[in-house]
Amino acid sequence: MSIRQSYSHGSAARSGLLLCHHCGKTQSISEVACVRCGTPVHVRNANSIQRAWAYLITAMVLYIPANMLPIMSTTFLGKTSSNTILSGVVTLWEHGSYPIAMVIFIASVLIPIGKLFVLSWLCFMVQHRSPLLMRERTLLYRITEFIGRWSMIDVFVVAILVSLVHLGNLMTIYPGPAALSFAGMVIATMLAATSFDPRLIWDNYDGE
Amino acid sequence: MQPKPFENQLAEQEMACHECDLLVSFPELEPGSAAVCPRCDYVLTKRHQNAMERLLAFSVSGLVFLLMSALYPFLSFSANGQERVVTLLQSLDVLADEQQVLLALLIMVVILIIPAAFLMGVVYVIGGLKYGAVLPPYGRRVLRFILALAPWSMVEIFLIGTMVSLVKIASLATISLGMSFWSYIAFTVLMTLVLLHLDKVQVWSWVENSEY
Repeated sequence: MSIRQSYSHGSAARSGLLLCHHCGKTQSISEVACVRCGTPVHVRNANSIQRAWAYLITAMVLYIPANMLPIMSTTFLGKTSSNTILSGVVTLWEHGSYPIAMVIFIASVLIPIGKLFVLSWLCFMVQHRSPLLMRERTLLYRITEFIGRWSMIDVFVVAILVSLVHLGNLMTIYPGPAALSFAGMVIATMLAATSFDPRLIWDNYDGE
Repeated sequence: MQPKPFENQLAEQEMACHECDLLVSFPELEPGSAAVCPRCDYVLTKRHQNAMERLLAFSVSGLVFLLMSALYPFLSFSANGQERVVTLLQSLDVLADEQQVLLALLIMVVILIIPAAFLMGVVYVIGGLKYGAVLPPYGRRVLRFILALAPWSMVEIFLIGTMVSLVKIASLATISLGMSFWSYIAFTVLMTLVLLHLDKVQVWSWVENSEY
């Protein structure tokens, strides 16, 4: 992918300026490190789209074991049963814990999948230099970046349950291998969102 | 101490939007107001009333509550005459015993270490600027480090996760909430307040102004 040569009308890049991502100092495009805080600066994040794709693919791969393997197993009066993320949601639903089932379903299924789709679409649109829906795409990016961390809820739930419910054969909860894969997946999508440079969305804007 | 205006004496300041790169000029901001990008609605920078004092107050008390939640029992769980009391650190230890060392470390980093480092950094840098009127040694490095850490704090998510787990097992056994649980709630509120009051652009302009 080539680096775009043209920037939108009114953009800092077109005026020969760039913003330090870290401290918000606007300075000359020729700077390599921020004149105020010393962070390396770029007109656009270096290899933004390639990096975002790399993290996205990592996340997609990790999402497979996260869903196929058990996230925790429960021993109750000597009997052990394992649950995956989805079967856990189904069990909760069948037991009538609708609010909890919804929280887990939204945080562990809907948000991660939604995030993978949204970021892939954002990357795709930038690669095809689409001038469409720029405001909406920026908003979507902002929501994705904000909401992504909340997927960690399920990992924390497993951690608390495992540490608390630990009464031998009477009742014990063990962590499953999916917990770590799932945490890795959340981190990979967070890194994908940080790598993606939303300014790329606007570089094809040619309005006034 | 109010930061000495130097560069900001200019009525208009120019800043590129973080998210769409539009070059925006805006006048000096009054406390309580924000500059918003006209093209993509991104909040460029915000000014808060008594930002330095508030940041210091919230971070110092946040650290106290964090320390309390690390020391006291977090939750206890009892069923059929057996009781189990755990502190936050013990609960991670159990996870490590179950061959989930990596997971235990990860959780410890995002719920305790990063938030603690972040708050200590805020106290160090802002405290230095406010009471020493200069940037303390390694101030820039500390500030860069803690601002980069901030997005990885998952304090509020952990709290929601804890509540979800409690609802999940409430029917199985008797749960009681320890001192640490309540301090962790207070800590979460204070941490959120610090994050809300810490505007990167503002903090770096304090740093810049402290040097003249």
